[in-house]
Amino acid sequence: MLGKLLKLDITFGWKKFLALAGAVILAGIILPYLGKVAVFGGSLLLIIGVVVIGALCVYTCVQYFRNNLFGSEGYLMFTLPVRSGSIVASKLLTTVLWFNVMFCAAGVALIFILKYSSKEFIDVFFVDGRWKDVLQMLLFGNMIGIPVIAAVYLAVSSRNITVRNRPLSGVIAVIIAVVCLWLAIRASIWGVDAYTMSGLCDSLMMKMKTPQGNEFMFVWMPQLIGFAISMVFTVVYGILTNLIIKKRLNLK
Amino acid sequence: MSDMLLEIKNVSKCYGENEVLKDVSFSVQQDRIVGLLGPNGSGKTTLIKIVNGLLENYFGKVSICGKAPGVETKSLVSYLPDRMALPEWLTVSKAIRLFADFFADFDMERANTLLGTLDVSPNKRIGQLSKGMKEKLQLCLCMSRRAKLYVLDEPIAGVDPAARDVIMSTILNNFGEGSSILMSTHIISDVEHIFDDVVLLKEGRVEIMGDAEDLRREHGKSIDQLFREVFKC
Amino acid sequence: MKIDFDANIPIYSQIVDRFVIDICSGVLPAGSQVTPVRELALQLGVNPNTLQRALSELERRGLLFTERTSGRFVTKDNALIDECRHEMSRTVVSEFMERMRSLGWKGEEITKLIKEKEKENE
Repeated sequence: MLGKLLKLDITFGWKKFLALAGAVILAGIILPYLGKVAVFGGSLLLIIGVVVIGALCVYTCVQYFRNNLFGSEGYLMFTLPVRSGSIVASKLLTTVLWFNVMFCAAGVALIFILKYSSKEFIDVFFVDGRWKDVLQMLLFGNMIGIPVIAAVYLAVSSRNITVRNRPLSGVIAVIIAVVCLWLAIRASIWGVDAYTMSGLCDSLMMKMKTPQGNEFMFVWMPQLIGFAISMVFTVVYGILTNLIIKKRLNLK
Repeated sequence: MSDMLLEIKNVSKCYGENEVLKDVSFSVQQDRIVGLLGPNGSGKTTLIKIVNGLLENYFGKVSICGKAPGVETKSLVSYLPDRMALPEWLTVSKAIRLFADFFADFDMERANTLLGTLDVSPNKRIGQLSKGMKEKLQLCLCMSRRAKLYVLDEPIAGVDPAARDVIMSTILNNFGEGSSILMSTHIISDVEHIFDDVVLLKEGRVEIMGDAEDLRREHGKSIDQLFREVFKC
Repeated sequence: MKIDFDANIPIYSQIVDRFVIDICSGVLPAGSQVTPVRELALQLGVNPNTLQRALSELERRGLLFTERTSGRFVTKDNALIDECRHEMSRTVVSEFMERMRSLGWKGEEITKLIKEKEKENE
């Protein structure tokens, strides 16, 4: 049943996110030609672009979650012979998928902006072992991103608990989202730091230098521990979301 | 006992201080068409939500083929909501495949036949269909399932009289052996002749209940007339 | 078959009455097959259970009978059909007579009025 739900959720989003990803990559190709674009200097266009596309992505996902589960479509979704846990899991998984698609697109765009030609890029990518860096960045991105997604969905679902007073429930939802994602991110980074017994920046710096010695212990382990911690939070948030839906669902 | 498709025992539901359902009890046997009648706000939709597992906090006992509302019963009950629940971003053919995917009792052939009479292009997005078409599509998908219990929430409200006949005959034509229909409506005169049993809900309570023909004979009037008397302000 | 139902009286009894009329008048000939329940219910726009009730009543009266494998048929007993026809007619006549009398007409005058009407219709 989860597979069928995934199919449905992916059907909704794949065109939109492929288009968004394409737009990001395109922007990465075009932007350097539009004039001075300094990546860390904070070009206005770049920042606007990131914010706009980021907001669009978040909006698309949250709107879909709300409409599909708590809008009229809920009358269909919750009468399908599936457990509500599968429904929540499917939403989380597809959002994680879109997150990774956009993350990779952003990565590709970044490479174009940094003006690596394909040949140079391939050399650097494979010869210097930089592909491991990319993987790490992906892992790091997911470590932060996934619990954020779960926290946001938990917050959106929490609006169901308070039947009256819509504005208040909205405020509470935002508070829940912020608290949950802060907790999760703090805990994961703590996990990374605790293992290396150094600051996060240090471990990132270690990664940027040519890895020496026991790469796995110093570079991968902290990341994996951090990731594991963030997954625990994600699962907890997912379970809470499922509980809210199971016990307090009230479609209008 | 065993051919009781739906049993509702002493069901009550409050929203805060508002008592929406008060000690409602009735049952639906096999091969029966039961009318759940009452004006808007009498608790019909709330009761239907409970039967479909869309509402969990309530007092009393509900069982469908002996099971409490849950994942299993959703395979036994085919639900027609009183609003458009199909995702508007799906195409007609994708919606059919959705139903076929999730419901083992979905009859693809019957669905295509029913849609044929509607003359709906399968590649059209649901959002592009007219309101009447959307409702017929939803009815079509609901009746194409060979379910044990069909729960129809106000299938003819807001529908013009000509379309009502089409809807009623679609319902009659597709309700199969061994299954039953629970239909809620506040428009009684057009449809009362198809009900085997009726349950009149007034402010969350069962006011009158019984075999439709017996009630007609007992009171010497139509169910519609009876309804008007009961709900006279 | 099409019936305009009056919702104030039990539907099945209206179906029974209609069948009786059709059988008596020959619209449904003796020995002919009756349309299967589901199809007929759809035609009439009624619940198959209601129709079933009516058909069972007609069987009880002997106007219909079921042959296990082939279906439902109108009785071949012409005497029974005739008796039914007479019984229904007696009700119609007595109703008619009562209404005419309430208008002040008496026996002989009523017969005359009937003959006049017959002539008109020719």
